[in-house]
Parts: sequence; structure tokens; C-alpha cells
Amino acid sequence: MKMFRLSGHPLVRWWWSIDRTAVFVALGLMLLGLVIVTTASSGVATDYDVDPYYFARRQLLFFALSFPFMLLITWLSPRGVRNTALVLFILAAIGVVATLFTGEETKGATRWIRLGPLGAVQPSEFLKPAFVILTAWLMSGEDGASRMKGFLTSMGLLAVMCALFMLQPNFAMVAVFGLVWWLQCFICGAPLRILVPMVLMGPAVLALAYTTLPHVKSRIQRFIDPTSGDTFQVDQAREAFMSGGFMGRGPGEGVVKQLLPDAHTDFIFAVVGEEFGIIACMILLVLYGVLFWRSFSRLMSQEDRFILLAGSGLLVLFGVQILVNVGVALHILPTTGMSLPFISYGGSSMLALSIVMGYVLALTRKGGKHVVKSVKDVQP
Amino acid sequence: MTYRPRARRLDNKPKVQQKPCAGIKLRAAFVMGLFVMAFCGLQVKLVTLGMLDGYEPAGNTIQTRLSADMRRGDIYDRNGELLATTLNTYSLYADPKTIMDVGEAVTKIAGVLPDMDTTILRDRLRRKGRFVWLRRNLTPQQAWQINALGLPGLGFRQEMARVYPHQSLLAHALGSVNNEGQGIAGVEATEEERLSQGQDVHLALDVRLQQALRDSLMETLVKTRAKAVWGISMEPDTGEIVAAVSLPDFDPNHYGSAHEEQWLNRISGGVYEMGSTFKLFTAAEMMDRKGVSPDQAYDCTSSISIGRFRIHDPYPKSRWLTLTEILRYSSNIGAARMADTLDEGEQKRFLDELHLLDRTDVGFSHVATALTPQRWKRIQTMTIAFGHGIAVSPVNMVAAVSTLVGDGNWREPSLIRDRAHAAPQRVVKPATVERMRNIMRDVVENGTATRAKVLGYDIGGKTGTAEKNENGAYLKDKHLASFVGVVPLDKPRLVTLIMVDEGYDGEKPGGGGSVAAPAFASFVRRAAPILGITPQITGDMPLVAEHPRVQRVGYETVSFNWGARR
Repeated sequence: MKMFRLSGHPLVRWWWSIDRTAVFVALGLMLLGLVIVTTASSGVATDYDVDPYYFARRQLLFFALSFPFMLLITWLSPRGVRNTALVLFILAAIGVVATLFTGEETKGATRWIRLGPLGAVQPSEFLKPAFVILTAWLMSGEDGASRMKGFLTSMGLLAVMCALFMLQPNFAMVAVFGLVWWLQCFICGAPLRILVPMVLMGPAVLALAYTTLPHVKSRIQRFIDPTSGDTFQVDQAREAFMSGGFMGRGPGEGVVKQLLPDAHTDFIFAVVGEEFGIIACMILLVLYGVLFWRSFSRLMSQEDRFILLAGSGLLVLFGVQILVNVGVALHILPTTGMSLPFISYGGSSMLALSIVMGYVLALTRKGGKHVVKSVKDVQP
Repeated sequence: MTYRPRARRLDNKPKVQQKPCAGIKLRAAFVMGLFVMAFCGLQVKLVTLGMLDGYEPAGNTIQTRLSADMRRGDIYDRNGELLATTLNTYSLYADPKTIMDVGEAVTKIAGVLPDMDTTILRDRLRRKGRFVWLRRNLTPQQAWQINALGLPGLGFRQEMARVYPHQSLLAHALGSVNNEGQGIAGVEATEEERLSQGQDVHLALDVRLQQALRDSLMETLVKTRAKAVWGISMEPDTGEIVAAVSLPDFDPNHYGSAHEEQWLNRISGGVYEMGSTFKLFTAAEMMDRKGVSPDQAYDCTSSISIGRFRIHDPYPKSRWLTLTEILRYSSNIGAARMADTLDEGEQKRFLDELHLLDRTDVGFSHVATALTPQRWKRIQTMTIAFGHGIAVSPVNMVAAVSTLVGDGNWREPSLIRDRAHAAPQRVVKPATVERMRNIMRDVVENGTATRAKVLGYDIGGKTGTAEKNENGAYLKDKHLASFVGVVPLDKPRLVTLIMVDEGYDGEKPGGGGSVAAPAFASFVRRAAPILGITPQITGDMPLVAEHPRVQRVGYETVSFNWGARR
């Protein structure tokens, strides 16, 4: 074993350099997701008039593509992370623009484009990690002047993207981009006189969305006053948790899920609650926490502005995604379509979050190529 | 801008000076701390959700939300008898996917619910999807039996059902509710606001008298082969409607399956040319306003011709008749002669004082408006004197007659007990009331209404036979017969109006005396014992009375004449 560990083979060096616990936890989450999608999608499959295992089979395919892709990304150096993110950003931005012209409309919004055999792709999912890394790069300048320039550049990019998302319309995406970007600015050390006015811009954008986007208005109204409209989804979700109790009804035994729209995507957490129980839900959150904590603590031992900013930005993105999805299912937040990382059904979401995780793992490598190099530099 | 990793370190600067990253780390840690707190918050929320109890999923069923709506209020009669209530029922549904053997399931379910169409049942159980309704509103026993079949894939949903235990008895008074539980007719509709807020409603009706009236009218409907029969009974002292029946009626438990003809509430939803019963108002006005004595005579020797109109009597006496005799023999000529002495507008004013022309909403959902002549001149006054050329609703009619024989005060008719009402209004003098009673007694003792007599009871009344007007022409062979009666006359407890639409007395079209008056007598025989009015049997009356003993079995009333048996 020790021999293996000391082997100079690049594969072995790579394996010992990455956060293996995080890899296993991510793998575990993905496998759990496969099981949950299998049971959660059976009811939805009837609505879409496909066979009960249609979604499960597709999710298995997505997993088979995504997990190796994540491992592949962990090979990247920080510079590689930056360069690939730049390419990804350009491709995804083109995709988002394309949705406005050729997009497929699903449930009142055009967020998807069809890409041959891959099926429908949601480019905005990929824009999220790409933009986080781009922002980190722009803000990691050496001196104040270059940082200011980066800050203004990324703010301009953000404004353009938000405008695009509002056209789709996808207000939740605007909110997530805004929040993650603001937190990155905070971490970067932007002074309060910049941060506070930006916080005030949040409600302004929200008010704009509330008045111009009817679905945003109705969702917020229904969240504040449940009697003002149809709250079927959140009521069913709540009922699913109560139906399951602490221990759950057992895999495949869920009944509320049959009537729960989007049971396999945005409301999958409720299915976990009904079939596997609230204790399982809590364990799931703990697993996310482990992933979060491992990555964060390893990130803290890095001494590079770009790595710190990009890594914490990606973790924030990851965390927001979990919090929003679970918050909606528990009726703490108004209904928005946001997937639960690694668990929800969906190829775009699965692949995009694998990229997020892959980037995080790449940025938190220990004893990596450059570290070894620097050790040599120090010790000859 | 290019990325240069570790530029500082490559410059071999001492580590101590790499502090710039410390600020980033501190702030990043702060943000992560926020996330950790949020995660903990979610965990707490999950635990509280799990601790919520009162949620017991019953077997393999889809739990649906129990409606948070408030339970609808009940409806009671004047004695606190329950007339309408809301019960929990069970509705049966199936998950066709879980049903293992459709044939077996169909046979077993049909065994418990024999009236279910097996082909429809089979179709539903073979349907795609995971939820189909099979039957709404099962009784707890039926639900238990279905459950005991042990078939997988069946489930129940608890629902609220509106139940009317007296079935058709109070059909038009109560009305019914729709599938959403909102009132659509009768008191259910007019008192929707209170009922939907969970408040109970108390009616002035008395189910016992209602039953007595409905039995009498049903008997009449069958015997006279009438198209429709309706009646309303009021307490003159209070103006409260104690019984109101309109046949044909419907079962409020199955409102939707009734015919439109059954829904029509003729008591307040129709206006009719009343015919001779209107002579009561003419006589009252003459005595009260003109000081005419009941013995005042009028020329009834020949029919009256004014323009194209000709007023005649069906059974002419061809002599002078006193006011009492005009009512006794129901002379149209006499009534017209009396009214001819009135000034223009006087008649309308008097009828207005009696609120005969009002649109009176007592709480039935149907309310019709009186039809009055646009020109109300001499000839109109003369025909209205015997009840033609004007159409009023039975509710207004009974309230007006109650005024004349009660205490001379008009009282607003009321169906619902806890509604506010207008104060009594004086219309005629007590002396007029006394005279009206005597005249009505005379009609029953010596006149057209002898078939309204019930041995031992002091009854008064007035018959009416209106020729039905179809497309502007009065039809000789189609009658709307009516009778308005009072019992007992010395201290009236009930004033009752009964109307028979196209009834027959044998082969002859029935008139007020031949079809409506007997119905009234039948009602008095049933109602008087309930009211505790004792018959005054004097020495010269036959010992064997003709009063039937009334026995109540369930909702059916069986009556038989014990006099005939002895």
C-alpha cells in the first residue's frame, strides 16, 4: 500500500492529491439520486406517457457520463480551470442567447435548446460555474486598480446575463447569479460602501420582476398568502413529509408522490421525505454538509486569491442550490425550479453540478503538480 | 490580464508577508458559517415537520386534503326538528394500476353496491392513470363493507354530504345544495350567508303540520288527477308560515335528478288569478270603508254588460242578494255591483294595504311579482272584485286573508324565525273581522264550501274557481280551484290556502267547492289534533265521529277511519 502510495505514476499521484472522501460522498449522492429518481419518477412517467423506468434509465445514462467527466475535470490545474471556464462561459452564453430564438418552451419559459441526440440542454446551468470562476479570475488581481477593473467588468457581464435571463424569463436564475456574485464580492473584500448599495439593488430587481413577470408575482403572493391561489404543489409536498414521518413509508411505497407535479425534479426532496423518511432527509443534508466542509477546510489551506475566490464561489453556488431546493420543498421559500444537486433528475443539472464539483476538487488538490514543484523549489 | 499562480511565492518572499489572503479566508469562513446556520435551520424545520401528528395514512390510500371549509349550518323547524344537516361520508376511488383482477373487483364491488353499472365500473378500473372515482358519498356501512372486501387498490376519501332526513317533505322550503355545498334553491340559497358560516337556521315550519298538509294534498292530487296541487298554512297571530307544500315536489337529497316542473315552487314562485276568494276583499272593503252592513242587498237579477265584457253567474239566483248571500252563493254579479260603488283607486289602495301586490320574499328562492292591470278603471275594478284580471301569489293571499280574520292587523309572512320583520299594520276594524268570520262561517255552513266541513270544528272559508287563461282566452274546462279556510273561527289558529290546478271531480272539471274544499277538510282532520283543538261535539251530532286516527310510521303516514270500523 505504501509502495502504491509512493508510486510516481501520474494516476497514483492524482489519486492521492484529490479529496478522496469528497469523491466518495459525491459518488454516494449520485447513486442515491439514481435510486430516488427511479421511485420518484414512476408517477410522473404516467403523466408524460412514458414507461415507468424511462426517467430512471436516462438518469443512469447521465450519471455514466457525468461522474467520469467530474473525475476528468479534477485533473485540471488552476490555470486549466480558468481556461476551460472561459470556454464554457462563451459556449453557454451563446446557448442562452440561442434559447431566446430557438428555445423549446416548457411551462411558460424558454430555457432549453435541443442539441441532437443529447436531448434538450439548459445552457444557463453551465453558465453558473463558468461565471463564478470568471468572476474569481477578474477579481483576483494583484492591485486595487486591476481588481476594480475586474469588478466593473464582471458587473457588466452580470447585468447582460441578468437581462438575458429576464427575457427567458427565469427570475430565479437572476436571483442566484446576483446572490452568488455579491457573496463573491464580499469575500473578495469589496468595501461596504459598494456592497450595501448593491444589496439595495436586490429589492429593486425583485420589485421589477414582481411587477413585470406575472408568474413571479403569483408565486410570491401564493407564498405569502396561501389562500390567494393554487398551492397544490407545496401542499402536496408538505403532505408527503407528513405522510412519510420520521421513518418513511418505504422505497416505492410513496402515494402522495403520485399526485405531486415535478416529483422527480424540483420536489424530489419531498419524495425522499415520504418514502425514506425525515431521518433520511436529515442524513442527506448531512452528506451535503460533509462535502461542503471537506472542500471548504481544504480550500482554507490554499494561499492563492484566485483559488480561494473561485473555490468559495463554487461552494456558495452549490450551497445556494441545496438551500433553495430544500427550502421550497419545506415551504420556507416561494416555489422556484431549482434542482437538488446530484439527486434531481436532469442531464443538464447533473452535468453542470459535476463540473462544479470537479472544479472544486481540482482547486483543492493537495500535493499536486505545482505543490510538488514548489517543494522541490524549496528543498534542493 | 494574465493569471500567474504563486507569483509571490516564486519571488521567494517570506511566508509572513502572504497575509493578504487572510482577509479572504476570514470572509469566506463567515459566509460558510451562514450556510452552516441555514443548514441547521433546515434540519430543525424537518424535525418539526416530523413531529406533526394527527396524520395517519390509512393503508394503501392516497391521502387527499380534507377541506378546511367550515361545516355548513343545520336547518331546524320550529320545534327543533332537524331538517337539513351535513354528514361525513366516504367516497370510493381506485388506483387501476394496483387492481390485480378487474373481473373479481367488479363482481365484489357490485355485490356491495348492486345499483352500480358493471360495464362503467369495468371501464373505469381498466382506465390508464392512477386515480378514478368509483362512487361518491357512501354510507359508513357501505364503506365498511367495501373495505372488508380486502381488494388492493381501493381507497376512500372523506367528504361532507348534505342530508335531508325528511326527504321530499320540505322540498321547496329547504331547496338544496350543489356539489360544492352551496345553496341553490330554497332556504339553502336564501340563507347561504349564514349557513356557510356555520350558523344554524330555524324555520317557522312545523314538520307535523307540513306532513299533514302534504298528505292531504297528495291525496287530492291522486284523487282529482290534478296537474299540480299546492297549499300554504299561516298562523294569523304571528304571520309565521307553519306549512307550505307544492306538488309535484322533489327529494332535496337528489335535487339534480328532478324535473323542472318539480323544482317550481308555486307557493311564492307563481302568481295566479285567484277567482272568487277575492270576493272576501271586496266584502271587507265595503263593510270596513263604506260602512255597508252584511244585510245590504244588491241587484243580481241579470248579468252585467259593459262594452265587450259580460259579467254573469254560473248558477244565477236572478234576484237581489245581500252581501252575505253574494259570498254564500259566490255571485260575480253581486261582487261587481258592490265594487262599482267604489271610487277610482280605492280598490287598489285597499289591496295595497293588504300587501297583496307586493313582491314578498319570505325566504323561498322563487319570488313572483303580482300582475295588475295597466288600466285600472271601472271594468277592471268590477272584474277584480271577483278575482279576475289580477294575479297574486299564494303567500300574499294567505297573509291578506289572515288580516281579515285574525285581529285586523297585517303581519309580514315569515318562513325563517330569526329574521327581522315589519311591525303589524292595522288594516280593518275589529268589527269588520267579526263580520268577516260570520260570512266565512256561513259560506261553509250554507254556501259553496259545505265539503270543507269537519264535524265538531268551527270552520270558515271561501271557495274560488278561476277559469284558466291560456293565450288570452278563458277556458271553460280548465279550472284553477282554490279554497282559503280558517280554523277555528272564534280564535283562528291557522289560515290555509289550497289550490288545485286542473283537478277533476269525477268527470267534471273540479271547482273550489268540489276539489279544494275537501282537501282543506282532510287537512283539518289531520292538523287539528296536532294543534290540540278539541272538537265541540254537541248532543245532536252523531256519536261516531268521522275523524281518522293518524298513525305515523317512519316517513309514511297511514291513516284509516276508525269510525267505519266500529
